[in-house]
Amino acid sequence: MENAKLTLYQLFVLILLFETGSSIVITLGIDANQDAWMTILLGLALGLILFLVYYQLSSYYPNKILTQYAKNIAGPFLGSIIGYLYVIYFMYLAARVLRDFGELLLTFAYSETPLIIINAIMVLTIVYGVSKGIEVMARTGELFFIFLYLLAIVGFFLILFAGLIDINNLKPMFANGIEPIIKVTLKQTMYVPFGEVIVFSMILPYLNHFKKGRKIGLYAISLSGINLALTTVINVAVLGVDVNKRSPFPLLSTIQLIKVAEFLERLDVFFMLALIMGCFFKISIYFYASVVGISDLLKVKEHKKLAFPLGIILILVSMMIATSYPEHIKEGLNFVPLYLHLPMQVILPLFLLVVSFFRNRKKGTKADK
Amino acid sequence: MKTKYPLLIICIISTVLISGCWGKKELTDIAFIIAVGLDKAEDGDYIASFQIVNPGNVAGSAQSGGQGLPVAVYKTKGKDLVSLAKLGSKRVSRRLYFAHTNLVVIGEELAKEGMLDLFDALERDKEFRITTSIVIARNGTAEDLLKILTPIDKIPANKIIKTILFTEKTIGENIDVNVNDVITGFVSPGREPVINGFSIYGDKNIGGTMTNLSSTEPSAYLGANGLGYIKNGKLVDWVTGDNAKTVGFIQNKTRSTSVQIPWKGKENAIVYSIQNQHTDSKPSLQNGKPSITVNIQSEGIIAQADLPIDLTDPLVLNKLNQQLETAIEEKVLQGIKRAQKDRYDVFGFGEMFYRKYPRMWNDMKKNWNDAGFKNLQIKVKAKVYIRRSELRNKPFLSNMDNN
Repeated sequence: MENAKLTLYQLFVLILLFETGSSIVITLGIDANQDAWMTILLGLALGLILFLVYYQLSSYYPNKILTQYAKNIAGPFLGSIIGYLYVIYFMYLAARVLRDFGELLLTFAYSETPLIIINAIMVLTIVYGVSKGIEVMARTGELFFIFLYLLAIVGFFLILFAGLIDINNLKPMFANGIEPIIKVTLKQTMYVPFGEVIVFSMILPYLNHFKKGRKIGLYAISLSGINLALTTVINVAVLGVDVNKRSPFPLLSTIQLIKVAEFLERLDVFFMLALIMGCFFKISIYFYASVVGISDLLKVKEHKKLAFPLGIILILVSMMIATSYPEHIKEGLNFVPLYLHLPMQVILPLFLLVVSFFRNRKKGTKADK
Repeated sequence: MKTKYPLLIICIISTVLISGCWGKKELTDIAFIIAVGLDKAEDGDYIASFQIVNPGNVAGSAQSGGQGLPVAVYKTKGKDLVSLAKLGSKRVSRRLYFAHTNLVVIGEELAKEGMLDLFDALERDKEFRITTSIVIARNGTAEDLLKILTPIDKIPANKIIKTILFTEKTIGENIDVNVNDVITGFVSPGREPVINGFSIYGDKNIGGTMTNLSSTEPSAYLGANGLGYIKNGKLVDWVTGDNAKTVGFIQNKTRSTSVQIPWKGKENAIVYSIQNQHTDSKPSLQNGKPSITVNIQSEGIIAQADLPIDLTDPLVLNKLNQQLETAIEEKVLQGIKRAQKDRYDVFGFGEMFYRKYPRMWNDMKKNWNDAGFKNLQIKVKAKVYIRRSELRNKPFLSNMDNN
């Protein structure tokens, strides 16, 4: 754990960038057809509850990150196993997002560049950011956050003025009842991106006003959930459900349709900027969490010594996890939520919370150090 | 601090020097394809015609360039779209670049045989835009259409696109249709796509030469010609005139058009010009049978009155309103009946049903065109508001004594 302090605003920005990061460019919950935005809002509601669980755990053990308080809760042996599991989990997710990012860039822009070059350049930047520490990342986030939001607002108005939105595409609501919505929420949107805030268990202790962190976190997650739902509404309203289902990056197709006043068109660069900035922060935060986790578990004092070697592992993992993009996506949709997200985001934290609840009650008012 | 500056300088220099060189394409090595034409050869292969811009002859306008032709058309023959594009490199000295393609032309023969095999490549390719407009070369081949040189807009593809945009705006007989619209129409069970027709008028052999540009009346010119109905990926019918306007009305694309009515026994005496139009179609069930009510609201002006009539009198205007309403209702109903007879739901009525009655739609969608749409009860209600009558109240004919 490094010696750093984060302001509440910085936490807000980091959560927002992390949540919207890569999720804004891919399809979320489109298996629920035109009700996809409802699954996002429902996922958001569940995600808020999950965040309260993670926050409660952090507040039982102030100034301790996930890998540290796991040992306090489950004992040194079991606790460090849980710690390693989380570190590997974060590393794997960082590699997944990195692969997403590389494949996206390759698919629509750099078709002749090898994947490893794109991934390596991204990782180089991320390693540099992570070795500088969380404070530097947060300050970078503050800068990019404003830029990204301006971009989103301009893009939104351009889509509006181009007259692309056809609200009829969102009808009928509840075409097959409420059942598919709940199903998709429990299978996908609850975990990605909302349950993923568990990574902030590694960052929350740096807050300068820890007590206000709960409210700020809830705000940030809600805002990002609303943004994502709005993006999905726009995508479906502009393209229709069918195109959304058939394209890996519907936002790109939406942006490509913009044609305002004969000259404001072909704004693919908007998508590209959103993609690069969003993915940068998502990978950085995952990677930071795993680097700090490992340095804590292995008792390495300076985490930046580990950043570079782990960065090389990150590149290799991102190349090895799948042979093709469809395989990568299929794993992400069918395997990861059930076998990774569910235990790591829901079952383990709940288990830790229940145990720590009883431990803390036994000790009464005595604060745990 | 001293050691840091060289590092920083290396970083800055390398970002300038090494960025963007991997997949570089020099401007002089790229052939900008502005339009693609697709035809069917006799042996079943496809023939593609690429209209390539000759940049020097377009940008220079009258003073400097203008010596050569603005475009060149190259032809390739192959089994599929991708190999057509690759084979193109055997004929053209540059890399074919599709990011600026604005128009796809499909020959009528190919359109009648079926176009479903064409669209996946168009949609999938990342260079190609799904906003590319699409037309069918009516009574001809795409190749011939792309060869015609046009006088005012030098690039023929731009002329075709602009013509469609302005007919959509001023008369409503054509609708700007792009690749994406066609594909969503293919996929939706409750709507069939339409594609504009474009024809060559005149001598197509001279149309492709410089001679065509050197007379005030071009020997051959291009013009929009009707709206093609597509069913199962095949061109099945052409509609023109009022029947084509109906599609524009119901899809809410028409910005302006004109309606003529007789007055006191004189045919086409009053011409009403629509300036603002809004159509709202509502599906409903009447005694369990699906029916559609089409509500058309229009605002406009009296643009021509060829007999003595007092347009200052609100009562007269009311009467005109009513007559215009019946005239519009009849025309639109006739257009819908025409589509119903041929069983193509080009209006998207099926989609409207799906949106309102999703569960019922599951039973109806199987043979929507043949049963549901054909037997659909249609009601058309028009509402006309004559707002003003331009610069004169009464026609001069009112004051002619010998009348």
